Amino acid sequence: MTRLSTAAWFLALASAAAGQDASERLEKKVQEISDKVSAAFVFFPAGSGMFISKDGFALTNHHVAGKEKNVRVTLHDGRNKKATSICTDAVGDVALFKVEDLEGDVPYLELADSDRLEVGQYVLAVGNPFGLATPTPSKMVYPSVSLGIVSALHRFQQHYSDCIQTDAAVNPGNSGGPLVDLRGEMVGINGRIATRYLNRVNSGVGYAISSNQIRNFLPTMRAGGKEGQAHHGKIAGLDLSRAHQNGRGALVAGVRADSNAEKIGLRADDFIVRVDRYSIFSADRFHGVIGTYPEGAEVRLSVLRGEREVEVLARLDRSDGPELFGERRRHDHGGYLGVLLEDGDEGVRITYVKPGSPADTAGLQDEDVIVKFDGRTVKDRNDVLDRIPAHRPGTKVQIVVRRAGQELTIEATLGKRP
Amino acid sequence: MRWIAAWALLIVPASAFAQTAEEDVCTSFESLHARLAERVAPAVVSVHVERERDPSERNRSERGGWAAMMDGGVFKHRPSDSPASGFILDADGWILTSHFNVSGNVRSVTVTLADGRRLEAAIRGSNATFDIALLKVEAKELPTLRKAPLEALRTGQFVAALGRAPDGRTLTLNPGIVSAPGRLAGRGIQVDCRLNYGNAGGPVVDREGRLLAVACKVDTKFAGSYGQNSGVGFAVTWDKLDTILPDLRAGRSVGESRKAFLGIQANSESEVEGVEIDVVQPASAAEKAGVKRGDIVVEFEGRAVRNFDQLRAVIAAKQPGDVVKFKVKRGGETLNLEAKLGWAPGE
Amino acid sequence: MKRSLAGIAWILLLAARAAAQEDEFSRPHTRMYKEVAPAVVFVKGGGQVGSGVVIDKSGIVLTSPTACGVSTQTVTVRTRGHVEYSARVLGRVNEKELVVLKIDSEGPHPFVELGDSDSARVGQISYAFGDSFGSIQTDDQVAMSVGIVSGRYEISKERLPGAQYRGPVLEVSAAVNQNQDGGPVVDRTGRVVGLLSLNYDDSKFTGIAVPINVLKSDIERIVKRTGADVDVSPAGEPWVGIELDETDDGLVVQRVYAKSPAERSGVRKGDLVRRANGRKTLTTKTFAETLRPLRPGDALSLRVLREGREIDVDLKLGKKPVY
Repeated sequence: MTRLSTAAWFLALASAAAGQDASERLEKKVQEISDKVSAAFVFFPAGSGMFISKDGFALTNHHVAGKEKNVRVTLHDGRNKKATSICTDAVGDVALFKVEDLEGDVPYLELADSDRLEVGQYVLAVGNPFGLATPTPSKMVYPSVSLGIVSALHRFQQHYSDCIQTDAAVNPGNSGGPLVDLRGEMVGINGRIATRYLNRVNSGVGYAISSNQIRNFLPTMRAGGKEGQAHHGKIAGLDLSRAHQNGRGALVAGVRADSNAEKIGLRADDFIVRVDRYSIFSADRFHGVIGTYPEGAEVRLSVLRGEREVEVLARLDRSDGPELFGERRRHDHGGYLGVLLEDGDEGVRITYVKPGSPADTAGLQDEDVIVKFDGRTVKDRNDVLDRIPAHRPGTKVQIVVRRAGQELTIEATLGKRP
Repeated sequence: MRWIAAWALLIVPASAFAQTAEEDVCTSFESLHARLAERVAPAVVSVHVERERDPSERNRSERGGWAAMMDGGVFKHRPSDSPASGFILDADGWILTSHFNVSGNVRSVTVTLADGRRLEAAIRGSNATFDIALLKVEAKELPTLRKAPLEALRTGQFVAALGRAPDGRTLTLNPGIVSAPGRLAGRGIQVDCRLNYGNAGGPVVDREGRLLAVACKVDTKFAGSYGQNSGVGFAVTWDKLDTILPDLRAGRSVGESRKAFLGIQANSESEVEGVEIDVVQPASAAEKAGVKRGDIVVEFEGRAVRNFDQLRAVIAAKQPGDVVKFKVKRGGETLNLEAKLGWAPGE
Repeated sequence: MKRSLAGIAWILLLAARAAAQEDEFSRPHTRMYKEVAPAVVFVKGGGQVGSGVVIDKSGIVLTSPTACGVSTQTVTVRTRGHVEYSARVLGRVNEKELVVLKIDSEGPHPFVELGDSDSARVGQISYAFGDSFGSIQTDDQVAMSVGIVSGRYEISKERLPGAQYRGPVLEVSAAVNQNQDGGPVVDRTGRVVGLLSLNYDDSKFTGIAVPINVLKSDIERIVKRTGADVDVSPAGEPWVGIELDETDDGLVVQRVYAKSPAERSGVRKGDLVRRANGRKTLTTKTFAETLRPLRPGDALSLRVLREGREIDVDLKLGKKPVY
C-alpha cells in the first residue's frame, strides 16, 4: 500500500466511525462484549461464574458453590464438565474452581483495575437470573445480559466491605457472574442485591465484589489457601471509635496491650487517614478497605497523631469474619452467635452466618428473618445485638425465624465472643 | 521528517473529525427515543376492558393499610381495570394484545387508536401459553409496523417496549437491551426493559422502530409478589407469533398450558400413609375417573405417594390433557384408576 | 532510526487514543456525576431519613417531608466528605412534598441549577441522585442511576392512595429506592427537573417526582423572604391561637390560647367564626385553606358571631410556638 492509500483508508475508517451515531456504536459495542463474555461464561448449579484463565480456572460466589468439593458446570457451548474446588473465601464470598478435562484453551475474562471505575460508567451484568438459561436447539446455552451504570463505589455492605453498586438488573441466579466494563474486562462479581417489599428481586441496586479485592486474594487462592479456605485480615487489638468524625478519618479509641495494633505503633487518639492508596474518612471505611485484604497482607497506614502524620506498616492477622466493631453492649456476659444483621422492610434479616459459629451449627441461614429471640419479639437489629451478649456462653436460646414464607424455631447454643 | 509531517496532517484531522462528529450517548438516545416514539406511536393502541365485577374483589380493595398495599400489589397481576396496551397487527383492523389483558369475565373491549378514535373490539381468539389475544375492530387502512429481520437478533441489541399509559392516551416507552435469545421454550426473547403490567401486549421494537416481539405479562415468578418488574421481561418474537395467528384468526383459543388439574382436595388431618381425598371437584378429571371422597391415593404414576405436597408436585409437572395412572385404597380394596388431566381454573 | 521512532510514536498515539475511547460512551454520565453529586446531600430529621439537593451556594437545600419530618424546625444534613451540619427549615409546603432548608454553614456549597420541567419529554435521559440504602450516610457515596422520563401524568387518589400531593408528576425509569426521597431528578444538562418525593410505585421501582415547575414559586417565596428578613430563626407557621370545632352552627371557638394573637385581639371562647379575610369559613378545612398562604406577621380579619351580634376581629398572625 502506498502512503497515500493508507492515509485514505485511515481517513475513510475514521469518517465511517463518526458517521454512525453514538447509540448505534454503543449498541454494537454492547453486542460485541455480550458475545465475548458469554463465551467465557460458566453455568454453576443455581448460579453463575466465569473463566479467568485459558486453562480453566473459574470464579463464582462462595454462597453459590463454595461449600462443595466439586460440582458439574455447563459452558456456553453446552459442554457439561466437572469443576473442582481449589479454594474458597467464605467471608469475601468468592470461590475458585478448576474446570477439568477441557480439550484445549477456553476463552476467559481479564480482571480490570476496579479503582479506575467511575460512577456513571457503563457496565454489563452477565448471569443466569432465575435459572432461565436452557439449552437451545443449537446446544448453546445463553446467559442473560443486562446493561446499566456504576451507581456508587466502595460501598460498605458488611461482609461485602468495599463493593460496587450498579443499576444493571441483577437477580437471584446472577450470583457469581461477572460485572464487566465496555472493554469486556471483569470489574466485579455480582453477588448481592438490595431489595424491598419482602421480595428477592432486583430493585435497581446490585452489589458486586470488586476485581481488585479478588486480585488481592488470587495468589493465595490459586495456591489453595489453608486447606481450601482463604482468610481475611485484620489488625488485631485495634478498637475504633464509632462516633461520627465528620470525615476526618478512623479514630483509634484504644489499642489492646500486647496486640499487633500496639506492636506496630498505633495509639489511642490516632486518626487513621489512609490505607495504601485509599483515603479513610470513617471507621466503617477503614474496615471496608481492610476487608479487601487477605491474612498476611502488608498494608501501609497513614496516621494523624496530633499535628504530625506518621506512617505505620502492618501485617494483617487472621480475621474470622466481619467484626461487630467492639460495640460495648449494655449487659455483656460474652455470649456470641456469629451473625450479621440488617434492618429491612421485612424485619431483622441475617445477612451473613459466620462459618463454624454457633449460628452456623444451629442451622441459621443467610436471609433468615428473625421474628423472635429468646421468647421476645424482635423490633430491630439492636434488639438482637443487645440480647446476645447479655447471655453467658453455653446458654441455649430459642430463635424463631421466617424462611421462605415459613416460620421455624431454631435452638442455638451461644458461644464465647472471639 | 516529511513522512512524519504527512502522517500527522492526516491523523490529526481524521481523529478530530471523529471527535466533533461524535455526539454523546445522551443526545443520541434522546433523538433515538423521539424517533421511535414518532414512528411507532401510530400503531400503539390502548385496550380498555369492561369486566363483570366479582363482589369479593370489591371488599378486598376496601381494606386499608398493609392489606390494601398487598392487595394493590396483587391486583397488579390481575388484569388491570385501567386501560392496557396493544398494537395494530394488520391494516384492516386486527389488533394484538396480551391474553392477560383480556382474560376474566369480559363484558366489552374498547380500543383507542393513536388518533383518538375509540372502537368496539371483539376478541377473536387468544392463546394463554403465548399470552397473545387477537382483537378485531371495524376499521381499514390502519398504520402498522414493519417487521425487524430476526436473523440479526442478538444479545445486546437495543430494544424499546411501547405502550399506552393507564390514562388511555399517553405513550409510554421503555428502553433496554435483548438480554438473551431463545427463552420461553424458544418462543421468545428476554429483555431488561423495566416492563410492567401496562406493557403486556405492546410491541417491542428495534432501534429502527420495527417490530421484533410482543411483550408478555409480568410473570410473578420473575417479579416480586407485587408484580414489580425485576429487569427480567419476556416477549414473543413475531415469527413464533405467526405460527399461532392462523388459529387465532379462525377464532380458536388455546388455554393456559401450564396448569394441569386433577380436581381433588386432601384431608390434611389424616394420619394415613398416602393422600386421603376430602373433596372431589364436580366435573373434574378426578370425578370422571371415578375417584370418591375418602379414597386414599397410595401410588401415582408408578411412585408411592406419601403426602399431598408430593402429589401436587407431580401433577404440576404435567400438562392438561396428560393421562395419569394411579392407585387408590377404598374400603379394603386397591383400585387402579386413570384420569385425563384438565385445566386449572384460570385467574 | 528517526522513522522507526516516529512509527512507534504514531502507534502509541493511536493505541492511547483507542484505549481512551473504550469509555467514550460513559463520558456524559461520569461527567454528570462529577458535576451534580457534590450538590446532593443526606438529610435526617423528625425520625425520617432521605436525600436533598443544594440549589444555591449559600447552602439552600430542597428536600421532602418524608426525608426530614412534617413539622421539624431543625434537621441534620451530611455533605460530601462525610461532614455533618445542622440545617434549619426555612419553609415547607407539605402538600407538595417540599421542604426548604438552609445549611448552618456559610459555604460556598456546591450547587445545581433548577431546570424547566415543562420541557421534559418522555424518552429524555434522566438521572436520579441520592442516598441509596445508606450510601451517603455510611459510605460518603452519592448514588446515581440513569434512565429516561418514562411518563408524565396527573396524580389522582386512585393512583397513589395516601399521597398528599395531587397534580402533575414526572415518572422516571431510573432506579429509585428508599432514602432517595427528596433527591433530585436531573436532565442531561445537569439541571433539576423534579424532586423524587413520591417514589412508591411498587410495580416498577421507578421514581415519581414532583416537577420542579410546580415548586418554583414556593421555593422563590421561601428563599426570598429569608433573604430580605434579618430574622435568623425560621419563618414558622402562621398562628392564630384558637381551637375550632365544627358544629351544626358552624365553626365554634373551643379554646383560646394564652398570650396568642387571638387572645390579644379579643377572640372569645364560644365565638362562631363566620368569615376569615372575607372568605366564608364554615369548616375547619376552609379555615385552614384561608390560612395557608399567610405567614406570621400577616393580618387576619375574622368575622364572628357573638351573642347574636356580628363582630369583626382583626389580628396579626403570630409564629406557631414550638413546644
